[in-house]
Amino acid sequence: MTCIIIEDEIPAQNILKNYLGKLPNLELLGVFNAAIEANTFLKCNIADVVFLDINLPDISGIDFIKTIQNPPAIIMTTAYPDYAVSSFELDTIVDYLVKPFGFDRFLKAINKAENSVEKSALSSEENIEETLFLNVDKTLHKIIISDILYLESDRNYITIITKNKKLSFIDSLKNWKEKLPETCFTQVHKSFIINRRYVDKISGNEIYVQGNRIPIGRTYKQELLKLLRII
Amino acid sequence: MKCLSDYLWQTLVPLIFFSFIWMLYRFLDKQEEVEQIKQEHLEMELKFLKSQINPHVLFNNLNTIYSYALEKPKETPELILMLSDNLKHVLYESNAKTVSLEKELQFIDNYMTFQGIRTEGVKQIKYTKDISSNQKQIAPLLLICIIENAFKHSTLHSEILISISERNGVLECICKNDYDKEKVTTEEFKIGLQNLEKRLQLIYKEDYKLEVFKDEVYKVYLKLKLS
Repeated sequence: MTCIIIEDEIPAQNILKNYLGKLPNLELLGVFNAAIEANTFLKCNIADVVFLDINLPDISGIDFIKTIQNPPAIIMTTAYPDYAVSSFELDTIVDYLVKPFGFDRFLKAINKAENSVEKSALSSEENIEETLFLNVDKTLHKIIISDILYLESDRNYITIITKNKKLSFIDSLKNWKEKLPETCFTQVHKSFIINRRYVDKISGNEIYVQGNRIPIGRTYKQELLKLLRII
Repeated sequence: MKCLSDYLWQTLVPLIFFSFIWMLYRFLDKQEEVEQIKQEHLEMELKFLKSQINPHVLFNNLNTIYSYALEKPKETPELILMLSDNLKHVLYESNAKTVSLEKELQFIDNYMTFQGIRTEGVKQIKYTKDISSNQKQIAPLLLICIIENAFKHSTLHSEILISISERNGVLECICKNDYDKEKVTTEEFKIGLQNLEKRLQLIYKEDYKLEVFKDEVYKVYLKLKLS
């Protein structure tokens, strides 16, 4: 497992570093004084566990964690037991450590984090392998969801284009928008849903998905640009 | 024929009786009020005591000591003594109306040592003292209010300037720190220093001056005539 520390006091950082040094299977990727600094780090790096001090001056900067696709397990640390502890609405908090805490208490938190990381790893594997069967012309076609490039609707018909298949059948795009996971799929036009994983480029009002040119509807553009991380 | 004294009795007896009842009722009512005031007073005192022993600071300092015990055990005993001295000061010595300037400044020194360790690499602290005589008396825990405030509101990677000086029985304390002009409103600042102002008014009446400047940096200036 990999982890980072977000903590503005050096003595408190040292305690965590000391404990982490005793656990060879935990790799410390970085130590940060402020939430903002960790923010930039997590944009291009993946950490499984984050040690986060509740009393950081810029703690509100931590909201970014919610936006990460596979959010890390968070272990909160605080010096003041009943203060603000429960007010954080982050689903991925696995434990709270009240300073000063001993090594055995720390181990407990690590175990909790390990469980949660394993669980999320399992579920993301399931996601990748998730399949469905489409009934087209009395034949059931197996489709791996993550292989879908995009969907196109034409009046009552829908065409699903995957990496190696193209299937047309009667259905509405609205139905499919609900069926497909939002983490990958986005509607970009009233008759197109695309898989963001396969986007090559956007030029003007057109988006290229593995070489296929797809128009972007005006009403969908804002939402799309928000989802794609544009720097 | 009834005589006059009979009439007098008939009026006086109930009059006396009812006034007695009324007085008893008033007395009990008053008693309750006194009890209530006593209770409120106790609560206020307790609140004040609690505000003096800021548990947040205490636990953070304990954590600092714990860290030192792991990493630098040789320097740990000194820190434990400092924390114990400061607890003693807050719990016992500060109950007196005034304490010696020497003790109060020792308390501040210890506090600054802990803050220095805790904010190492994050904030820069410049702490200067210029005292001509330690023998004067000062009301306890006044200066710490201003200093704590400076740490609370200063921004990351900024500088905190604290200078305390004493000349001919006049003490001056200046705290300067950076602050986030958008985040920190005047209101927030006021709450922190409101209690200080109240205490100063009660204890020093005319013999003090407290000024707060909010420009590029946040600056608090306190001048006291020591007894």
